[in-house]
Amino acid sequence: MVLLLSLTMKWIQHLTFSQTEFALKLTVKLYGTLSRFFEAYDHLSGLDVVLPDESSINDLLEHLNLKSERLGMIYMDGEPLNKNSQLKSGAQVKIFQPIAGG
Amino acid sequence: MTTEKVSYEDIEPAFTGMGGRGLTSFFVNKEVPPMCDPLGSENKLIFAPGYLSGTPFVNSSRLSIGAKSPLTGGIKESNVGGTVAADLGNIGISAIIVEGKPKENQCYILTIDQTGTAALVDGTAQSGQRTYSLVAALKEIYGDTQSITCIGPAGEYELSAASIQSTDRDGRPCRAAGRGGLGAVMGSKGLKAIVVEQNARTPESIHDATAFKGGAKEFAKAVLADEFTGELAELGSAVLVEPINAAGAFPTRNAREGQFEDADKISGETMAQVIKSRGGIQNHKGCAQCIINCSNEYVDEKGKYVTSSLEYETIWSMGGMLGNSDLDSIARLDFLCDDIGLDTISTGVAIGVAMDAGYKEFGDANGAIAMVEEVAEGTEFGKLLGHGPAHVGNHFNHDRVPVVKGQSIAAYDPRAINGMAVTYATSPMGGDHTAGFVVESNLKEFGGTLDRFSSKGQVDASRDAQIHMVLVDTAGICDFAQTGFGSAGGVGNVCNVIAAKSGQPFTEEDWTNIGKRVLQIEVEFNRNAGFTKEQDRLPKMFYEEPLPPFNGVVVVSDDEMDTTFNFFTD
Repeated sequence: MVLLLSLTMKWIQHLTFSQTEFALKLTVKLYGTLSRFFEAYDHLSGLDVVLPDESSINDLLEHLNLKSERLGMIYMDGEPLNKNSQLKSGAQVKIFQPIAGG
Repeated sequence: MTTEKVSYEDIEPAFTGMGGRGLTSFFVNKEVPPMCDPLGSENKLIFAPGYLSGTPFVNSSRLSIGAKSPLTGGIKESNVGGTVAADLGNIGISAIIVEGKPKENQCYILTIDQTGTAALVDGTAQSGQRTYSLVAALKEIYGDTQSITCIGPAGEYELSAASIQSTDRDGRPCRAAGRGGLGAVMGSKGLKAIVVEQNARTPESIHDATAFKGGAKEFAKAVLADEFTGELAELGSAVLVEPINAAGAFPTRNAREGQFEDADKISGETMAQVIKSRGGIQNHKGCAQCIINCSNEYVDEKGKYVTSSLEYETIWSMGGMLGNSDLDSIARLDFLCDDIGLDTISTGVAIGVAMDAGYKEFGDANGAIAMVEEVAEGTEFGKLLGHGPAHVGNHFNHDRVPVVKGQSIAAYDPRAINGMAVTYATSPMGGDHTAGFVVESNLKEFGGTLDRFSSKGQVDASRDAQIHMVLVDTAGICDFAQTGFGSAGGVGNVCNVIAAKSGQPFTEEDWTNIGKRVLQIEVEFNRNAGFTKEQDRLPKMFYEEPLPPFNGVVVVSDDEMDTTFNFFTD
């Protein structure tokens, strides 16, 4: 009985450990014509993305299959990102295309 | 117009190889007394298609219109797309010059047929008409294959924010030479409309057709290959709403903030969805020779036509600038301005100033619509509004009026993009965004070149953009087709195209030198009209009021501004 309990505890610990490896949750909004790559994309709710901890912007773009696209600005919770910025769990990320103007 | 006569001249040797803005600015500087009354008989109104208009070059149907501006009191070039520039180019007309002033209250139509034969026709029956009715009436008389360039009631009232409208490929008077009040100049000369016959077949005026074709093809390929072209086709220029808003550079409620909390309700993405679900049109070709199709047809919930084309600048001026999140009312305001013949930018900002001064509440879309209708009615307030934001500001004794040289800024707040501060302040055109557009170079967070909150490099960037834009406006190339300069040959490729047309050498050095020369004569005209360097400054609010959410101010100093034109020769 005690053995079973301790095995169960180990299993629960293992589950919890795995989930913290993928704890970076983001809501991604795609602007311009970027949403054309995503069938069921709804602009009001955006895309829910879950990534491993410590993921970078490059990892996010890779995950979204946007690495070969020319992109414009990327904002996280209203602040512009640069290539060294850290992604934050629970954040909203906006990805724009390049612009020119008028 | 004084003698009611039309005369024809060959273009002077001095102007050979010129078109568009190069031609209008040289001409205005040469023939218009800088101190003259812009609404008097000494001002001259010149219409000049771009040098490449009427050729097979893509996106080349741009008409430049020049005169002394009643809005700024300085030199003005305002340009418009649609079909008329290509038609004039096809006929072989380099410019139409309107001089003098008719007897009191006379109203004329100028007709030009395929052979280039022009006639001044009595326009009394069309006097007072709004542009959509006017175009319908003129089509009854002259048939369907005409490009019509005209003014509405605002121009006939000689109001300083009056536009000159021109018809698009669908024959609607929805393309606008908006900035600078040239509609008032046209009205002061008693000219209601210019009717130009389409489909002229003049002998080829291209010296080396093979070289021309090769260069034009290279340019077109680069336009099609650029992402931005696809964005414009799908979402129109409205694609700019969300990125500019995210950058905190979207002037909101008379530029009190740089971000509009309801930007998503008036964004390009939302507009595209609305248009699609209601059966309107995106990816619409508004202008002759266009391969981008940035235009749209906006419709109401019943699918009925409201306006074409609804642009970023209007969504800003009638939306964010007024705290108005209702796209339908913005579309209605766009139509009203086209129909009455008003610059949507100046008019929206004028309404914004009135709201900021307490005349109406921000967000009162119906109030805005009523104000614009008053312009057509010719009420006292209507005339005030039609004279633009500076007049409205004066009337209400309001100290927050976002104008330079009397002309309002556009949909990019200079406190969030210091490069635009330089362009707005120093351009001889007044507050003008296309004259020296430096937004991308200020906004690239990934490997960008300029810090938009710093003055570093901004004067250089604005100077280069202003010089370059002179030639874009002289050649008659659409601003959105500038992606074509991204081809391997770049600007040099377009220079080769110009040389192939003229049969004379034209290099990148010529490109830059002409740009510098035209800017110099424009600034000289303004100096002779009474401008000093004090006119190259932004209103106090931009230096002193931090713009939320990033809380920047204009940090480019007066001394730095004054180095913008350091290339002027004696």
